[in-house]
Amino acid sequence: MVKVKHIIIAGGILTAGIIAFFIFFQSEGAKIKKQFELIAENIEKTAGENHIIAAAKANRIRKVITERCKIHAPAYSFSREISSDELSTFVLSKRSQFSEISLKFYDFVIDFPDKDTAQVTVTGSMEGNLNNGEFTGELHELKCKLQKIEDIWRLKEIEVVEVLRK
Amino acid sequence: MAPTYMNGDFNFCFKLRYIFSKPERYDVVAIRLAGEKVILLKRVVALEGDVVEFKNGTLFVNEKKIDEIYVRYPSDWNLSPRKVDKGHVYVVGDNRNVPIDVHQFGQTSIGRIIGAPLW
Repeated sequence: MVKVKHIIIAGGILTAGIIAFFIFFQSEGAKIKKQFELIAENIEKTAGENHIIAAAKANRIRKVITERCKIHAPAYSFSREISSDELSTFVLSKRSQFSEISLKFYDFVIDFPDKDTAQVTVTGSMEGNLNNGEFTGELHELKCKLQKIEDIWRLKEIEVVEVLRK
Repeated sequence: MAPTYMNGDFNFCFKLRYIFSKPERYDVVAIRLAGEKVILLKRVVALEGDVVEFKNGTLFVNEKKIDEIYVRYPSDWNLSPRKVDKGHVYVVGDNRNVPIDVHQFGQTSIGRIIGAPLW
């Protein structure tokens, strides 16, 4: 009987240890995915969102990039480096054109060229309703370079891959 | 790809379709992005070396007017002639009832084609 009790206690400790390991020692890949989740959360919009929430989300989005982030989107003839403040203003202005937005990321391919740098290839799918009720959807492959600063993975470069070139 | 394939329709991707052959004109193909969880379904309208053009919604390949029976909704698309690169095909969706700027189409590498819908 004592043996069974000990086995149950040992099993409980082991389970708690495994859970704690996954909570406190996330892999770098998991941390990067979490960062993309954060981006999606702060881009997404539900109908009737108030201005305070919109401003808070735009403010939070500045923390996901490095001081300056290079964005290259050849399909849109857009290529420039933006600051975190500019990104925040851009997100606030773009989100205001939509009544609802949904953003999801799929198919992460993550490489680490060195300890504090990550190359991420991912599919981004955005759907939304414009304020005039028109539905719009975009599906893109993104190639991103991230840099780890103070234990946080931040976007340094984003390239919108031209899968289909008109 | 409406009306041929509608959003939310259920299908399978036949991944062996292009193991021994290359995509042909008018095939509907599955194109991968970063991975295979989310794919694009498009129709091949031109092959490498072909010249593609849209005039008032009508597709021209190598200056020949193409009768696209799968397109139900007419468009007013205009696109200047462009040659398809080697190792690429030119794909367009069947749903032309959207502005040309919004519709995702163009040439893509054959390497990105992972198969075709099973039905």
